[in-house]
Amino acid sequence: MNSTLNEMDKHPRERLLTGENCRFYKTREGLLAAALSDGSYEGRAFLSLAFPFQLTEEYIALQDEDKEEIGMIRRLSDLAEADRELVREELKIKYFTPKIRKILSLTERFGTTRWTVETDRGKQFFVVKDTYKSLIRVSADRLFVCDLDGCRYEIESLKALDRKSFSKIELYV
Amino acid sequence: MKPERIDVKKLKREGAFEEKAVFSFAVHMDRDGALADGEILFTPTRLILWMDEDDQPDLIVPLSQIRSAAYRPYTGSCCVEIEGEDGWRVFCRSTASDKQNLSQLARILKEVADGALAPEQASFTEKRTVCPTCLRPLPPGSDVCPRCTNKKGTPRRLWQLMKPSLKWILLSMALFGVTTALNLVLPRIQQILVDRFIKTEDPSEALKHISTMVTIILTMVGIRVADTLFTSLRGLVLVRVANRVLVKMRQMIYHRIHQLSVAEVSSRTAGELINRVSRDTSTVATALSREFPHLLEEILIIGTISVILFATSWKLALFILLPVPLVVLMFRIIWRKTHLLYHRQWVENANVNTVLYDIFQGVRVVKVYGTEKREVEKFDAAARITRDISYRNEKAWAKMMPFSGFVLKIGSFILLYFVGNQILQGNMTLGQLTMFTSYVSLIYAPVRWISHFPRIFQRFVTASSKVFEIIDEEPDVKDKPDALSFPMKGQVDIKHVYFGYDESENVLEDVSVSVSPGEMLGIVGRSGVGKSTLMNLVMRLYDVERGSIEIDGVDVRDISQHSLRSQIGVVLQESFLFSGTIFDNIAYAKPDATLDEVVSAARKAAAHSFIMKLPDGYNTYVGERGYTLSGGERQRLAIARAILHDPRILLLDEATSSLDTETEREVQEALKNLCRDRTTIAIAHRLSTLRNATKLLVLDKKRVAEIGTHEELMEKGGIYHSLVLAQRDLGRVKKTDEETDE
Repeated sequence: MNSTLNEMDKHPRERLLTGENCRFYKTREGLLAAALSDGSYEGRAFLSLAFPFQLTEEYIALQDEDKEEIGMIRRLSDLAEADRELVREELKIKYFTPKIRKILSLTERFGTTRWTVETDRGKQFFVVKDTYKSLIRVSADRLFVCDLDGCRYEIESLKALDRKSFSKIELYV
Repeated sequence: MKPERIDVKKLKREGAFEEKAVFSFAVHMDRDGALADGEILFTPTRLILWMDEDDQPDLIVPLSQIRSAAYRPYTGSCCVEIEGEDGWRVFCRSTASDKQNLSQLARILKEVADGALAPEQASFTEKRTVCPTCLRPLPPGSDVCPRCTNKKGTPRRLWQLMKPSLKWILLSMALFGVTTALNLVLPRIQQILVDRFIKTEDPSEALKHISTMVTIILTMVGIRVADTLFTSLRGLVLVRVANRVLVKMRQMIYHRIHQLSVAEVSSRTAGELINRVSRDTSTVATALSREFPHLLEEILIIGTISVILFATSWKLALFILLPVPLVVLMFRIIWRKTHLLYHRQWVENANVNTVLYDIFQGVRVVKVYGTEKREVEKFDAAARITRDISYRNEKAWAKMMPFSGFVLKIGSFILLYFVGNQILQGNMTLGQLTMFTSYVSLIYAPVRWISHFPRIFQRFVTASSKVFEIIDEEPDVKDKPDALSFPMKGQVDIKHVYFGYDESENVLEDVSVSVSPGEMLGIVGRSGVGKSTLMNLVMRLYDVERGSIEIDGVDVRDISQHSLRSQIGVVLQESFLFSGTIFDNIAYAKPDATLDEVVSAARKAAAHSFIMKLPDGYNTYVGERGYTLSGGERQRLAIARAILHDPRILLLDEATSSLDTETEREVQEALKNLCRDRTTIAIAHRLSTLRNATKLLVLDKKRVAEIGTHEELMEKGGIYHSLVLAQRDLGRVKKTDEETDE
């Protein structure tokens, strides 16, 4: 019975966006916008990754203001070359995930852990609650750390960490 | 997140604009999305962004130019966008740590732009998620750290836990002292025995004193008997103490869990909570009642024996005690190597428990998809990890233990050599040697135990922080000290309610509606639009962010939760049945209900007939492991429960969704009678369910889209109209639900 109400949903049929039918640009005020060549949409572009932990350049949904899907970019490389950079830039801000290069200190107190790390975007200090649950393992080597506030940090490769950093995180992985 | 800095710069800046900032706060990202520190200043006429590195403000926007503002939460970051003459643009960005501050800013800007708020009157509270003093997480939405403001620190409260049992703990220590003293006397007696009788130059002389020898032996037997008695007595006392502390702790934590709001409880998995109530408390209680007193005892033994040894011969004592620090050091090294693994083992064990809990809960899904094998493999893998870790741990210990024993023994060998010399020179007797070696064996056990202690301590700290995290948690839905209790008439006024589960994203915005006694409000809207949320707010399972919900003109936040909820009846889509009989389940809200009342409530809820078909009638055992009822049967029991409860306000959240139309109509009749003079709020996807509604509220995009009677909304031809048409079509196709267009 519930299906009747759901029929109100727009149920977007899958629509693949490529450089052929979709173009990205910046508004005068510097916001990302998109235009479809058939004229069915022109306006602000909101991007959403289907697999944010696994694939950052594939399965990118283009959404409107209300988060309704306009179309899906299957692969970033499907877009025109200039557009790729725009999309990449937007995703980098939308999925703000500094990459941890070095763990300067990691101490556990009262069930929380405090981290001081060096990332590709500067030095950061953060607090993690429920440490074991807040480490998201994507593969044996790659993982994400989610802090108390919902900030995310990526460790691209555990093996690539220096010995000192690794010995600090070893207990939790 | 970073500690407050004394900001001279900020003071300067505030003066730089010839007007004082109404509020200001720090951001941690520049407008291009790179990590950098900066400050937002909100003055009566301007909005300023100033990054720390820059000499000049990065952006100054006159408030008069801002038409609107929006907060955008991203993953790990967020931003505030403002609308000016040229359209939207980004005003500032920051990391997710500042989401509450940025969303507040956007709200204030919007209100100022709408003319609803004078800039000077804007009130802003800088919010944090971590206590700046102790760096521990703050309770959601609060600025006060319960642990920093709470003067009673954890040690103090642990002490309070132990205090009632203190005399028992002291008794157990006294008993231990006695047994220890007895054990310490034993070597001395042995020495006499050896010197006087066994290694005597003149056996015939010794034979004359045979009675003395018998006395000595009897004394030794006596000491052993006393030792055994006192030890078992001590065991009994300890069990008693441990149980008392444990029960007290469990009461504390369980009591607190019930005080917490739904949001706080459901933020943790059931398995995790069960672990904390059952396992962590027992770890803490054991440490408090056994390990800590035991530590004192062991220290006492080491001290006493050392004194005895030194008093007898300080040289020999030194030889014996020499390897002790070495052994302690050695244990520290193994400890450092294995404690990570032990901790890991402990965590993995907890994980295995959680996995088990989840699987048993979801056993239906497992069966339906035939994934038993996969689940077994998953569990095997988890169990294997635990096994491997514990194997590694035990291996490390097994390797080190004999070795450390050997080091300890070295002391004995040196001792043997020196004492042997002394004996040969006639300075010492054989008896003294046996006494010495006995003392040595007595001292090494406590040393070994103490070197284990850090491991026990670590476990204790982890467990107690988990237990106290819950005990210290402040319920976010709390009764005011002067909370009201009164019999309600049932007038419900929802006034400009804003609410979001996550502070940065609203689920409901500016929702207003009133329902009077005798009226039935139907809430309609797409899934996820906030219908159930609105009901939760009426029940005050959560507190509204802004606006208010009033019952009989009193804000629900001023009414005691008990008084409020005891006068509200709820029937949910998923009706939970507790383990117990059908009778118990219906009478849950009114434990003193008579049999008549229960049966008549069941009749009204169209539940009586199916109950009577069950072999045990009202005595049928339901719930987990009990008789399995269908979804519709469960719902009817829940409705019977609500009818019996006889509340002033009735909330029906898809209460009849699992019933066929025939039965639903039956139940609806009952509900109609029930609703007559009370306030009813109902949610239903099947619009026919709402045919009795006197007023309909259509929610769309977090807001009230339409409000009015069925006729009014049909005439209006909006969302409701199209919904009714859609369902009418469906009804025609299915020919099962012909009355939808009623």
